[in-house]
Amino acid sequence: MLFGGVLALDDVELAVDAGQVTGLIGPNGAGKTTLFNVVCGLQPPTRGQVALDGDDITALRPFDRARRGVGRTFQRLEIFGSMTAYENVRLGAEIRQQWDRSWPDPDEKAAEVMARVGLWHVADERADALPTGHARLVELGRALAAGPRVLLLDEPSSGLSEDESDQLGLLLRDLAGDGLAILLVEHDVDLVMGVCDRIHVLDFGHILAVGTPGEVRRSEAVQQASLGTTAAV
Amino acid sequence: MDVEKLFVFLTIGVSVSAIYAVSATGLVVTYITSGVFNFAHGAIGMFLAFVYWELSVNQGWPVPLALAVTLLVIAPAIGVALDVLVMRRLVQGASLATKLVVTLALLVVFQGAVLGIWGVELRTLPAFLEGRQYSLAGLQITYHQTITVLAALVVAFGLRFLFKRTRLGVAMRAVVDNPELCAVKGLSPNVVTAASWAMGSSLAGLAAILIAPGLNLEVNTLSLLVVSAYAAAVVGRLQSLPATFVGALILGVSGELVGAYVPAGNEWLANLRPALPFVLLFVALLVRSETRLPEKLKTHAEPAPPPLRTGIVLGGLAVGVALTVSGGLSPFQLLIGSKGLIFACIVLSLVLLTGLSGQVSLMQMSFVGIGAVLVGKLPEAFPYPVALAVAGLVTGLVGVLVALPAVRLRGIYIALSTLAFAILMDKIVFGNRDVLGGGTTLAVERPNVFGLDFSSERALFVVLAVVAVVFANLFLIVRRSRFGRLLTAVRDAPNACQTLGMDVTRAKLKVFFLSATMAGVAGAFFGGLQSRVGQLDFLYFRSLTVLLVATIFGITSVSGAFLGAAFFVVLPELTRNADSAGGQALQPLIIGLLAILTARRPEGLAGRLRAALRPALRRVIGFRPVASRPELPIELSTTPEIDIREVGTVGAAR
Repeated sequence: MLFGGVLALDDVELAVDAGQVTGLIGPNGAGKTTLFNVVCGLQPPTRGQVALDGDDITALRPFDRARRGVGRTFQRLEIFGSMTAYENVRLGAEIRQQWDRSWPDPDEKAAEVMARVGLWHVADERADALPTGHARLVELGRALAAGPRVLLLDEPSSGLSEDESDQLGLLLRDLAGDGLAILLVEHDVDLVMGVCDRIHVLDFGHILAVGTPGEVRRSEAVQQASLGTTAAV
Repeated sequence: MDVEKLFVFLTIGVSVSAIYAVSATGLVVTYITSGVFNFAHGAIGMFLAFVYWELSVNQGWPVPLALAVTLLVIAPAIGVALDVLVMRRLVQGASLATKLVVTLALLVVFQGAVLGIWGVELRTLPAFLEGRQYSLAGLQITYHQTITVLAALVVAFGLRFLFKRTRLGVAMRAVVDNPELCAVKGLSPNVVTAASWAMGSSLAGLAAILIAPGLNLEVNTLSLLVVSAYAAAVVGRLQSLPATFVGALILGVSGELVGAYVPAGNEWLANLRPALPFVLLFVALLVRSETRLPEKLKTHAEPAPPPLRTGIVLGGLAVGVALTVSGGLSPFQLLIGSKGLIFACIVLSLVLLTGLSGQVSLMQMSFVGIGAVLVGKLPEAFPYPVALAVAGLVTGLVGVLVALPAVRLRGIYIALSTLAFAILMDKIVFGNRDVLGGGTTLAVERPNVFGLDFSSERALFVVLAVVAVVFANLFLIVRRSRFGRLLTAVRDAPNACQTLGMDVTRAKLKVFFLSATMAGVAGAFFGGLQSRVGQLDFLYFRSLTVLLVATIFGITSVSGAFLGAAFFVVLPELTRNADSAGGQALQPLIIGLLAILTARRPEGLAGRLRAALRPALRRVIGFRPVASRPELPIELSTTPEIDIREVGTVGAAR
């Protein structure tokens, strides 16, 4: 992946399994968001392949990938700012219903998701007036309302209180328990170590280490390259 | 092939390219640094060429002094003033539409200023070392051409040095993505953007002064030359300066070659050469499409749409009022009223496109023209409703065709492609003698349905009131529909829409079709109202004015459309008494300045008015926004159930 003349990602290989939360950590500029963009199709890779269930989806446009089940949230918020939190989530379901007639009624789906994510108390707030933490949860709810099978979360806990962060962790485990494949980019080390089944450590476009939270924590390469040198991870 | 002739035209082509390159570089420098695509770039250059003419010709200053004062003092001063007074206050988080409207308004303001200061008479600007030339390898080369190419080279290497070797240059490249980086480099972002606007302005002026001797010193021609620069800049994807130079070279040389080798005599081919930059801009958009993500828009407030019943009742009332009042109006007053209603329809087509879905069209009046010309050209055998339907549908399809190349790209490219298309329509369709050109006009019939004749001024006025009410309700129906919600979503967060599974391109094309259809139908009535239409009715410039007026009064609402339309027909009456040149300048100045002042608030003056009137309105008609979601179901109000074992697993994973 060539990005602005700098190699943002170089031969990164990473698998996300259903029913698991896979973590992706690394300092700022390591290429995490670029990787997300490549996976969901917003940015074409210079080479390489994105596969879902073994099917190559590299040539598909973003909305086709979404219809196959790739959902995501954004680190730089991409919220429907002129709508309420509820309308944001409802629209996720409505977009799904547009191409999938069998999808449940958007109001029903939105109510279910709002409760699950814990957003009812801000349901009628305009989304662009929400604090970032809640806006991120709205993005998560909106993605869930469209029923993804793979969910890419770009720093979902930034802006949340410690309590809310813990709740989010439980929700992510719960979602994985439902069979969702979750790829989590996160700066909150406790959250990542707490919820992930496997963690990939990315730095300067390379995967430095892969393993369970415990293995990653003990890995010397990671200690030196990222955990030791940046406060971020 | 005559080799000598070829070389002669290549020489001219290279010097023209050099000018395009200088202008395009200025455009790219400001864009890289401030994120603003400056549609006023050409107009600023044009203004500076007039300043230079004033100093060197009118005041008789020596050329080097006049040049230095124009390009090194006045131009940077204008650039810095624009940055400080206008851009800096808007750009933080401003939507693309806002940025666009501001620079378009500046274009209009600079044109108005030149008309106001210097009037409309034709002037010429002498070339540098006028008439002196030397021969090189058998070619006659003028000193002006040599100076032009040298100037471009100086600009190219100067900028290269600036960007690679100086602190300011490095900061300029970084500031748009990362303002904090400037602080690290020890420069305030304000200094950096001011510098880039100053440079952009000087480069615009240099280009205009270099090219003006080959043309008349005239407002429109000089402002439009910048489109060649747009095309060159697009070849450079609005960021690469070397590629921009290559683009300029392609444009300049191909323009001269077309001029030299395309046979004269054919009307359509003869119009090809002036249209070439726009054709090339299209090609550049197609070929050099950029995959950067669409920029984010700032969202804005808009009124909750009233329920269908309210819309229909209010509309019925309005038609009733129109029917009653029209009996007491003079034919002239009816004409003004009808014109206002048609403009309301045109602005409504923009409210749908820009207000609701966030797309920008700079060619709405070209759609109007297509509708009018179609009704005028269709054989009389066609019944009026059929002609109207054809006009609407064909215009809609043209809208889709224009949007197609640019709709996948960032919003700025749609603006560019619609502007290019508007000017293209001016030059090869409306300016064509076979259609409207050469001072000819085309008769357009008035509505005539099932033997009922609506051609009297009063009948037409009432018909137009009905049409405007239908348009307004159509827009409101779209807004309340799922399609309307999807469009709002596209406007607010296009990337999110894609990753949720929405085919954003298709949604954009649909709304372009709908908007162009509305404008085409409005155009059919516009033609009927005037009875005859001519080339001047559909000038690209008018599309800009319509967009500006729409944003002044609120591009997000029906009330804004009607207020804007009223302003549109009242303003010429207000400025009629001013003397001719002054009056001509006054309108663009008023519209441009108002647009700059109101651009920060897309809800416009109508939005403020509504906010002020809302309490009273609520009492009178009992209108309140519809509740948009079901009540919170009680069984879902508790926190989700949590599986304790799962938590245990989490603990184990630690």
